[in-house]
Amino acid sequence: MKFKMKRSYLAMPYAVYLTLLVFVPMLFIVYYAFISDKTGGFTFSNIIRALSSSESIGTFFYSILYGALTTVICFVIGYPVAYILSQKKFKMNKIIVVLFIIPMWVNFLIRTLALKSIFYSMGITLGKGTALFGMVYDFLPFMILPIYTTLLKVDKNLIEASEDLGADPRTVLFKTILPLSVPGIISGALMVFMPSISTYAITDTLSGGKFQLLGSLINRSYFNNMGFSSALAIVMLLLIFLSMLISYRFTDKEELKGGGLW
Amino acid sequence: MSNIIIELKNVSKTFTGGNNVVDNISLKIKKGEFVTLLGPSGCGKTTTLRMIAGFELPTSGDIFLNGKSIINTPPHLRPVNTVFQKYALFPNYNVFDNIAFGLKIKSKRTLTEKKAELKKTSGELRESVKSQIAEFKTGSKQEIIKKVKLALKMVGLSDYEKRDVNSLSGGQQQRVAIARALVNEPEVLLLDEPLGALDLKLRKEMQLELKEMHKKLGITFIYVTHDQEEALTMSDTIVVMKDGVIQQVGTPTDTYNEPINAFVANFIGESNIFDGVMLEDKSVRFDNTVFECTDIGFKKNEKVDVVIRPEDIYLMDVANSNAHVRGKIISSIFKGVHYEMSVLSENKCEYLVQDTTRWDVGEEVGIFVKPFDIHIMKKPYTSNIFEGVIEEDGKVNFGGGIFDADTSGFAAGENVWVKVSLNAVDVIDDKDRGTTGGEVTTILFKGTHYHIDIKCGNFIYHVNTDVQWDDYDQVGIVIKPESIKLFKGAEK
Amino acid sequence: MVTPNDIVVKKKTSSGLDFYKKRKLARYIGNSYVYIILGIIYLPIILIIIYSFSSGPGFSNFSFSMSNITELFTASTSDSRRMITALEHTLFVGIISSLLATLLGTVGAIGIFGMRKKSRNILLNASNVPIFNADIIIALSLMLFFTALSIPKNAQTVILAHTAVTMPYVMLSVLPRLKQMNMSVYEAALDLGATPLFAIAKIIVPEVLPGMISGFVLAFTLSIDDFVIAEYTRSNSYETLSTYIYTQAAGKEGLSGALKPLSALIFLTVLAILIAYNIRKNLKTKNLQLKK
Repeated sequence: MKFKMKRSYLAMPYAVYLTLLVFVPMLFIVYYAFISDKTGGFTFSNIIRALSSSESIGTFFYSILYGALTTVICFVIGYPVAYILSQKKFKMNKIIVVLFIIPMWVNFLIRTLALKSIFYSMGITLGKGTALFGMVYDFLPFMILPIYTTLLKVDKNLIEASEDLGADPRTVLFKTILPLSVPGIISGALMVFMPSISTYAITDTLSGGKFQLLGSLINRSYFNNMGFSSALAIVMLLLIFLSMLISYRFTDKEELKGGGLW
Repeated sequence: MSNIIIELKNVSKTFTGGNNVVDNISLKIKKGEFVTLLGPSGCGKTTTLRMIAGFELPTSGDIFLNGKSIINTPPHLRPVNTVFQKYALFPNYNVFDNIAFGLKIKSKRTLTEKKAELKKTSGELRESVKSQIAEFKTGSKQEIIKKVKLALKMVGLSDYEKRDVNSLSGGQQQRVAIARALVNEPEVLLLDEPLGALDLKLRKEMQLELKEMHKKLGITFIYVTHDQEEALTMSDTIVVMKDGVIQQVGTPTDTYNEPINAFVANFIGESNIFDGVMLEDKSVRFDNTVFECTDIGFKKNEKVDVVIRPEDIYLMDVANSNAHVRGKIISSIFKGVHYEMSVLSENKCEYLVQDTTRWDVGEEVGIFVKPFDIHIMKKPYTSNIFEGVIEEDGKVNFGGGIFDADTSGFAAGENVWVKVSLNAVDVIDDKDRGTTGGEVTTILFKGTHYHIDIKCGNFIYHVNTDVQWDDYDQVGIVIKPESIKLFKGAEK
Repeated sequence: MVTPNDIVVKKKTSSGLDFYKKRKLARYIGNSYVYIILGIIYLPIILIIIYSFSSGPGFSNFSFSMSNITELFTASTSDSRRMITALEHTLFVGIISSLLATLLGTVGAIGIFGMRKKSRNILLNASNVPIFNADIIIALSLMLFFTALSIPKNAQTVILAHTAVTMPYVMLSVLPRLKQMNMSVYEAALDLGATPLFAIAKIIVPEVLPGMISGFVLAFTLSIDDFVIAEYTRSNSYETLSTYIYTQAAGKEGLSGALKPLSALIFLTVLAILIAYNIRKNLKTKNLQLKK
């Protein structure tokens, strides 16, 4: 018992570091959200503005819409890829999976700028469409990989059992494979949805400044209105918390830990 | 109509990489029969079952159901259902939905067909089709509930409908798996080692229950197992397989009493297997002793396998003049009903004996065997024969390696037959140090020595050895040059 | 007259006959689909490599020239000097922060593993916060924190921030290793008189080393890929590669001059490392198989 106590002490530096550099700083956001930039006194105006101004409500709407759109497109493109890669018959699959990961090691801004160069050389004007393309392009692997790992774990006997009981390929897909890959789909959706509402580098670069999501609004406001920016961050935090909560209802907690990605 | 429900005709399955898992098997299964495919792991029994289910396509050959080829029918359209080894229950559905899965699909399919029919019909008939559909909808729902409940009752799991399948014990999960397959009223039920994951007591229970179900339902069961006791208890017919080839097909009694070769004798029940020589009809010599037997029709001095069941050997006082051979008890273990004893004869041959009378270790005994308890079997092979090619002077390529040999009289590049006697193959325990190497697959104890098979890629070496190897041991093979006999006449 | 039963039978045979052929075709189409998606993902990267050999920015008007490549290695303009410095900063921050994260994360994992379930779960859930939190919230909070405590923003603030974010990833890649490991070995060491610290260093650390290495690699990757946190926690003069690239983002042609060959070089380096790693791994497994 004695050594066990001692062993758990080893978590102290980790816990202290986590508290000091993750949780305490977040309290500062809460603090600044209730402080007026002009007077330095207590105020609700930042929060009220974040929740009711037409600018922020419009941005919320767009963020959720485009976040959802990015997620759905990534799912539609990525699920078949993950499914095919998880099939044993596909001989090269291990190598292909690595090929899908390699671009993630190249700085995402480099890839984003390369897209911008492509759009420019093709004469495509930047806008919502190009921004959406960029987000899908950057986040697609985040959708493919968790679904792929979940599908790999699916017992192949279950698919055979389904066929054996009379299910045609379509029924096997919708009644067996898809339900069994829900944990992967949820973590993939989270990993795409959350960065897509919070990113500003991709949207700012590829939309030509024509539209902004929550991340961009926080970033822009921070230069002139720290309080408003903090209030928006709190709203985003709630949004993230909410989507996590929803995803927790659908999946085992174990699946989410560590992203199930690596 | 004939009473053959499933027929396999010259079915072979080669997996990518050239591994020949099932080798040209033909088999007829009668309606209502309980057939067991029995064999050690890797013998091709599961692959055979999977080909009947449609999960694997045969490389060649044909499979018939009720006289019609089903080779091109996908698994979901075959009227057979499978009980999987590890249950394969859908974790996302509860017990009821698992069992109802097949029924729901079937009812949905009928519904789509009826709807298609509705589209085609017009006028007055339309109304009648419409009401048919409505009737079917409510009717099938009731029907499904009724059938699932009945199936659950049959496997003794009534009131378990709403349970999460993950919360069930292994035995209960297996029952659900059986109910899920049976509820579809398949013509043939395929069972892939369904009891393999259960503990011994539960397994015995389930064996009886399955047998009971088979009797009650009257449908054909094809059962895969490596457990010979299970096969003997449950089956009407046992199909013994080895290395992708059917060894013997017969009733449990026949298979036990009249094993067709030494492998079957060894695999089913316990046996004494000796190398013998047939002196003439009804006379065989083994353990340096001439025994009277009942077999006829062998060539003079033909080498044979002699099989004697341990319970057929009688021990008697060493002075008894009826004794065929004399020996000394070297081990004696009480097994509940009988004693299991090993006797080492004067000629250093070991007999396994089961007897209700106890003899102590060290005691001298006489051994007696009745003539009709001595089973004589043709040897499937008496030496190793390979096709080979002369690589260069003094080197010949066969059986997965290049061996040194006396090649005088042969030209480089010439195709030859290679013959190596069973005693001439040396086995070493380092796979890489042998001229070739492989895995030990079959082990037979022959009283004085072991007979083993070594699988080197697609080649099988039959070897007599004094060393006791284990299944799956990776071993190397060395052959002395003078033991390699070459013959002309190989083609290609 | 056609009865429904006839329809069933007909359908069975017709769809049955083609089933395996159709499945083969579907597989073929599926594989092509994967290759097409892969091609789209790699298109920008391939263009980067090709246009490294072209003068000027972006991907328009290919005209063969080594000027951008020469520029990368000579760094004659102040802009490319800025880029090289930024690259050096990125590597420096990446290495230091991931070393710190590996140390804290590994020791933390060992500690967490020895905890009671309740406190362990609290810490595990807390570790999920930096993983799932949006970069911009972490960045903003740290910026406010550093400003409020008047900690001068520079390399050290970026390192502190990156360590905080990547440390949980290391912890989570070490933890499964600990779960797999047989703890009786550790207890046996204690039983034989080893001090806990000695036992940890000699018994546990070697066991979890693969987890530490993959945790380190992951932390390093996250650090060099990060833009937002570095942007908020750096000083104006301390640029990382990401923040440098972002300053170029406003240009309408996208990738400018020497950035193209640098990007190509980064990609090729990653590729080479991965290939080398996989070859080594394959050789290892082959050797293992041979030994068996």
